[in-house]
Amino acid sequence: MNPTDLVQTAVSGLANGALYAFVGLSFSLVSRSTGLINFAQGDLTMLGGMLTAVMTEATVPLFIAVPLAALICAAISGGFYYFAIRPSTRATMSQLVIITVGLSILIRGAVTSIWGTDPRQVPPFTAGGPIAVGGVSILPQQLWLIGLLAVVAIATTWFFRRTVLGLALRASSGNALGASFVGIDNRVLGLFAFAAAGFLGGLVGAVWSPIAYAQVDIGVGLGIKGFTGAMLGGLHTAYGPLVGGVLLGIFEAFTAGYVSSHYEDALIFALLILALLLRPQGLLGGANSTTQDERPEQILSTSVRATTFGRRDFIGIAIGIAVLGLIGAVLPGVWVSNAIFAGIEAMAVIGLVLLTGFAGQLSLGQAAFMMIGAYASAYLTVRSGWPPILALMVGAALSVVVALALGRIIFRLRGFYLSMASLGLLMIALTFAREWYGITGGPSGFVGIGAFSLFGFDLGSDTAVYYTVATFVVISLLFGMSIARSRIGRALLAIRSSESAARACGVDVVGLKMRIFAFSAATASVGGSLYGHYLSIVNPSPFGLDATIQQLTAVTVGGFLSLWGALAGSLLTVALPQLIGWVSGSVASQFIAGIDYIIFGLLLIGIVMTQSNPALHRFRMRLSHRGTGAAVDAKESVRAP
Amino acid sequence: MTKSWMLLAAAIFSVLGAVAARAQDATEFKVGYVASITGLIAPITKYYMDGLDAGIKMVNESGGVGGLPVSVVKCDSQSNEAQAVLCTKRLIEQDKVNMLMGVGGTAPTVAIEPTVQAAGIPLFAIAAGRISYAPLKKWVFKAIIGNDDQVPTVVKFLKKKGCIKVALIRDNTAFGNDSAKSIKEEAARDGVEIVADEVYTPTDTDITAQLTRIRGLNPQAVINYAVGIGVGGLISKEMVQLGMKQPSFVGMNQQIVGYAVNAGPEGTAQTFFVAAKVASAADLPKDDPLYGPISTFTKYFKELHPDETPNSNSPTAVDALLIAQAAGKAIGKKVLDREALRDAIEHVTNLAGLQGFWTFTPEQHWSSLEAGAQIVTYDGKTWAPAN
Repeated sequence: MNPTDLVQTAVSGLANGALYAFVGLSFSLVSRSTGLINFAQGDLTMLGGMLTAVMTEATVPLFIAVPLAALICAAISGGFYYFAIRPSTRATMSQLVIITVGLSILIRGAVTSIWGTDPRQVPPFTAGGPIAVGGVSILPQQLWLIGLLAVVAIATTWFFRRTVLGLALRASSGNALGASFVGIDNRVLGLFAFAAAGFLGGLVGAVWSPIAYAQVDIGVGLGIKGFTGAMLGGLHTAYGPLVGGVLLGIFEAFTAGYVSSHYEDALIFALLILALLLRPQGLLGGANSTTQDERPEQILSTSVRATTFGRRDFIGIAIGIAVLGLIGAVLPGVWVSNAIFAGIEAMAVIGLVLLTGFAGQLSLGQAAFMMIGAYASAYLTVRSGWPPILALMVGAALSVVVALALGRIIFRLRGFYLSMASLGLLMIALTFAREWYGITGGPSGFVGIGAFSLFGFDLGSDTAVYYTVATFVVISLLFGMSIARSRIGRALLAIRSSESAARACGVDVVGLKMRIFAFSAATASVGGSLYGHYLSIVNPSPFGLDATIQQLTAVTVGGFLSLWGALAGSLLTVALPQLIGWVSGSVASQFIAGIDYIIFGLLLIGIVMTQSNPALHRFRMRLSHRGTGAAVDAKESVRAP
Repeated sequence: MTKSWMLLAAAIFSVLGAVAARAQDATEFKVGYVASITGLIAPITKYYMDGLDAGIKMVNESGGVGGLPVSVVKCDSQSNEAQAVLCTKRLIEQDKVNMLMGVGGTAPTVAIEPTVQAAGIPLFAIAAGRISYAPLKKWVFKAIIGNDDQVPTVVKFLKKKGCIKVALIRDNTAFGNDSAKSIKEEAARDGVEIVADEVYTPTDTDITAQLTRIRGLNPQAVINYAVGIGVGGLISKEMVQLGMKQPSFVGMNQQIVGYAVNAGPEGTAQTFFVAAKVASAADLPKDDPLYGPISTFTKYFKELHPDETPNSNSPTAVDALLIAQAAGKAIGKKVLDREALRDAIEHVTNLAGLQGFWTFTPEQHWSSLEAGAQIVTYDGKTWAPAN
């Protein structure tokens, strides 16, 4: 092992780690004061770099451009809190996360339509090439980044120890209710935290971009890495995000340089899962620092209409089947196709409604089970010549086995820790899909998968595929409903409200979570199998983070506790981009790139705000009360302050 | 309340009505372009679309296709397979296009092919991977200089320069994987040893760890194949930062100014780009068989985009139009009949396009464009062929 290379690898790991540390710190600020994860944090970092690049291209001097970029990001982030998050007082955590997903999409759409998709360079703060010290080279800009990180670390310490606002933040993050009793306004803290996180994000974007570049799509990846680092170090500790980010950067560099760049992602996320299991409070989290157990889902109760499987459900299902049947017969071709993709997605979303909506377990790994189903079907039908239905069933069984095995590990975790662990599993699964050439065909995957068939009947036409998918969707819905409307469904809701209370009432918490996880894995897997047969190709790219976010969006838009909503949400996420593109492409003479992202982002934010705005909620409740005449449980939910 | 709902409904219906009215227009030759306007392939799609503008003008001012003016309807696939299929169906069924092209990415292109085959409409595959057009598919035609043409060009050049110990760095997408496979096969044939195959995720923003490892192996050259145009230049910049003086070879998609911006002057100076002949149009001798179409295209391009120089990606979506035009010369207005159009395309012979010579037969829907591919360098102002 060459010592120069060793030091070189450490240096680049350190510099990259400084970036992750910065991003992680912004996550931590927001999370400590509001309990929220701001998914758009990475995009704010990207925006900071982009703004600096654009301004310097317009010959604005750097010393003006950099602070201005950071301030603009602060204004966007703070404004977003003020106008979108603060009024959504009825929103659950997951809904609020989806609002920030909306912001992320909105930022990317706006950047695309204003400045395009080209990469841009930001000039380094000091001129001159890399500094070479005995064969190890370091960029002056990397020193700037590391130096700034040191300054920010000191400033943060001072802020949290010496200022009223900082102390208030710490008090609120320790006990929000208690803090509000002594006169701390949590909403002011939220506004401050979002603005400060926006500022930090924009600043680090401007300082780091000269090392790499600014481009619209790099934000999401930065966000994931920064958040991972913060989780490693301890999201709710003062130095955790800094230490975790730097460690992640160094670990990443050594993995890529000395172990295998092919398995880098898998190793990083395996480390994360291990760390979460061993020290969920993070490396720097003390024994009594805030951990998962003290942070229940903030909404204590949500109104659920029926709790037993009754006449209403039968009528609903009958109407639903009739509508689904009719749709296939009357819709023009392209919309049937939209409905097929929506149905396939709904298979994953139905399971997610039970897992996330009912049981409150925010899983980001659902796409992995779709992938297992898709690959099992592809492998068994293409390589082994099995009948599709058998391959589909084997895929589902495999998914259940995997879910039961992994569930045992990850359901020791709760809240965002569980989310990160499940995301980690997805990343590991994707790595294996890309690298196990013999089984998966590598990144190119399988091509030429035949149409779905049953007992020798080829079901290849769009209409046939539609009815096949619809049948599977209805079966899953029935299963889902019978779970949701039973003792199990009520137990799941109990778990969501309070795990300890549920356990005290005799609910087998772990066992139930496992069963629901297995159910959601099975339905997602069937969806994946159908996807492979419909598209005729399977490769890793449709099963990444984008897919997971899309499914989560569908759950949110559909209303979390509604299985029919799962269908509506899936249809919206699949068909809306098409509808927007179709209308905007025809109306505007020149297709404006990014306009579909802007509209989609705004709609997403709007939908969740409408769902969770108390005034609008009361209005809706009145409407449905008047409409059905049924007794509506409009119990106001209380958000733990 | 009711009033505003009615107004909204009226507005929506009038928009949809306008859309429907547009879709019924049949006095033009409509080309549907399933384009990756957003997502991973978006940065390069922008160059395809800029070139396409010039291509449309070029074709329309020389008689259109079968005497009909050409119009292009775009649909954003978001670099996503499912949306690409939905776009394909929409363009066929609602916009009633006469011909398709897309998607800019091998996997989504392969994904839309069953739909195209079932509908029976000619598709020009804008994708570098061979599986996008071969083996023969009744309705699918090759449209761009692909890996088949690019990789031999690179490997031959390496051989000529005496580089027989070469490192490969590429992304972990289907593009990177397919390229790596072709490069390894071609290198093995020509006796070039690939000493490293390092990968990264296209959204990664630091590749120095992999490059440090490559530096330790001391190869004579580095092949840097990236689907993302930001990261391609970044790798070159980081090579300079690590003091790596080796020449690096990049794919045709990187032959853009954005690469040079990211790579910096030193990184660019040691980079060799695979390029189409359009890239060095200024140096193209008048007796070059492609001189005619390339100079005409360049003229239109300059008219529409005075601040840009056409690059290898500009003609990507244009040759399909030129092929359709050639087919239209034989059958006139019958280009509106998909079957007739496909048959006519299958008989296009030795057509000088922008990327090379096109010859199709009913048995072979692809031509080798190796003659149209070359290696160029960039000095910050002009692209010039490398010797």
